[in-house]
Amino acid sequence: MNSVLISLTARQLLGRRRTLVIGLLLALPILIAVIYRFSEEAGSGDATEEVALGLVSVMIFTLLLPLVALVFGTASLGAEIEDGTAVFLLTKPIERWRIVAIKVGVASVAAALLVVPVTMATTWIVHESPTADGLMAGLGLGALVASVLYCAAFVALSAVTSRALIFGLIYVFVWETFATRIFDSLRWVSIREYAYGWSDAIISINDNGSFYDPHLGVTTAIIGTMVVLAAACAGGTRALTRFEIGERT
Amino acid sequence: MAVNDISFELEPGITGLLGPNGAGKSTLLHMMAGLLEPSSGEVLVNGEPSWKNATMYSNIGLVPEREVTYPFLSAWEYALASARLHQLPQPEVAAQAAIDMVELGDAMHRKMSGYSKGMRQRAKIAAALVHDPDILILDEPFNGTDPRQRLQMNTMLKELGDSGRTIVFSSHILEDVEDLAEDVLVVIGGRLGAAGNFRQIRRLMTSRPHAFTIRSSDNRALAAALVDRPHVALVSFDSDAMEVQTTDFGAFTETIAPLVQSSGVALHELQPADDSLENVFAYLVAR
Repeated sequence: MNSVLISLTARQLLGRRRTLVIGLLLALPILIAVIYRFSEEAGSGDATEEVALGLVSVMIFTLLLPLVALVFGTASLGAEIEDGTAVFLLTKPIERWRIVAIKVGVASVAAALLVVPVTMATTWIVHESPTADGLMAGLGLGALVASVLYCAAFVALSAVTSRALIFGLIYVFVWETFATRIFDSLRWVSIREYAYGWSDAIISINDNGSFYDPHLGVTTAIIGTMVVLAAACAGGTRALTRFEIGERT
Repeated sequence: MAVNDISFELEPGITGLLGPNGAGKSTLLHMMAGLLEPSSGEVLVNGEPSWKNATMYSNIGLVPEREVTYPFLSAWEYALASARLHQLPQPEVAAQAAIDMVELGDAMHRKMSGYSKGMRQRAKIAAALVHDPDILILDEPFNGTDPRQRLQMNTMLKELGDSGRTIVFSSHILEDVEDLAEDVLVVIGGRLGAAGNFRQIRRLMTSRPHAFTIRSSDNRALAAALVDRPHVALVSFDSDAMEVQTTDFGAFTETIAPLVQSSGVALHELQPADDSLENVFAYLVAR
């Protein structure tokens, strides 16, 4: 039963043009990293740190990672509800939590398989000693956590509303990118900050001036992660249990 | 479409849910299938509420009107996925039996994106039948089928009904229901217009006054001959045409030709004035 759910979800997620578009988008940071590596500025310590972290934290963590997770997260369940195939799954004697868990799992794995290698490769290309200070591993772990949490949140969101994409974009670009910068306390409710918190457990540099600027400790990040996962699974399951078919929509 | 004040029980056999478009047929079927919550009252399937009850799907097959097939799957993969999701002990055997039942064997390994609407309909039925459910719910199963497929579907549903299953299907076409169902539920405007044995309801329909529009070379001469007949209830004139109401559809259609002949009038036009399904429903609801 699980394998059928996994393969249906995976085929629906990856069998479309969106995977190609996402692949092209994710090639961008690697391309920029390569260009930087062959430029004249490459090699001076400060600049490298700045570019590595800038590229990874701004381009990947702030822009591409949430976008990829948003696309996979909403496509994994939301697209099935939209095109009607969700009815095929929901009229089977399957526990609703299982459907949500598998949708989250498949979307997370798909997003992480693309984003984590790109994050680590970008760091590795830009930085002279990428393994020093646990930089590459730390950022990779952060990307993994962020992939899972964003996907969980967006799968749940698409079970609750048909406008998951819009609300997801608002959350990522209004809440996480602007609101949390203006009001420090809002960082407690930010998936990106939880991901940075996990990264910080491995990375041992403390350069507050750089783009990489974690605000939450590891413990807070772990608690935040658990809360997001639990809330997403509970909320998504509840919404699917009460799923009502839209008439003529 | 909201439905109101509807109460009925379904027995094994085939029940047709009849009503014009937008009458609330899909709403009723979706409530039975646990995909809509009744705001008041309850829907019980085998004695259990259908709402928020995933386990009941072991006993129910639903064929929705909307497209629910994955275009990248073949009918075989679709039926097999359904069998596996039902956790059947021998999913391949069950999937093959379901595919055979809908006679989709020749095309079963082709992607469903290349199927005709009728073939996708059959694939949906195969997936809904794979676990051999006692209850089968079909929403407008005849939509998009050609006459041959219609006949095939009829035969298949009849066999399923005869085997003791409870089958309910919706249609806005009277003839579909007439061919197939012994019992019907007529829904109109979200309310139950009539429920029961089809023949009884049909008799009600035939005893209502039927109206015909007639154009002839001399309407008044023909009218004079017509009012003489006991089954003619009303004759009215409208510029070059007249409308005749009869209480006996059969007697009227049998006697009109000899009557025209004997009165020496040339008949230009004779057609039923109110034979649309909506009129039939409206009549049933008015009773």
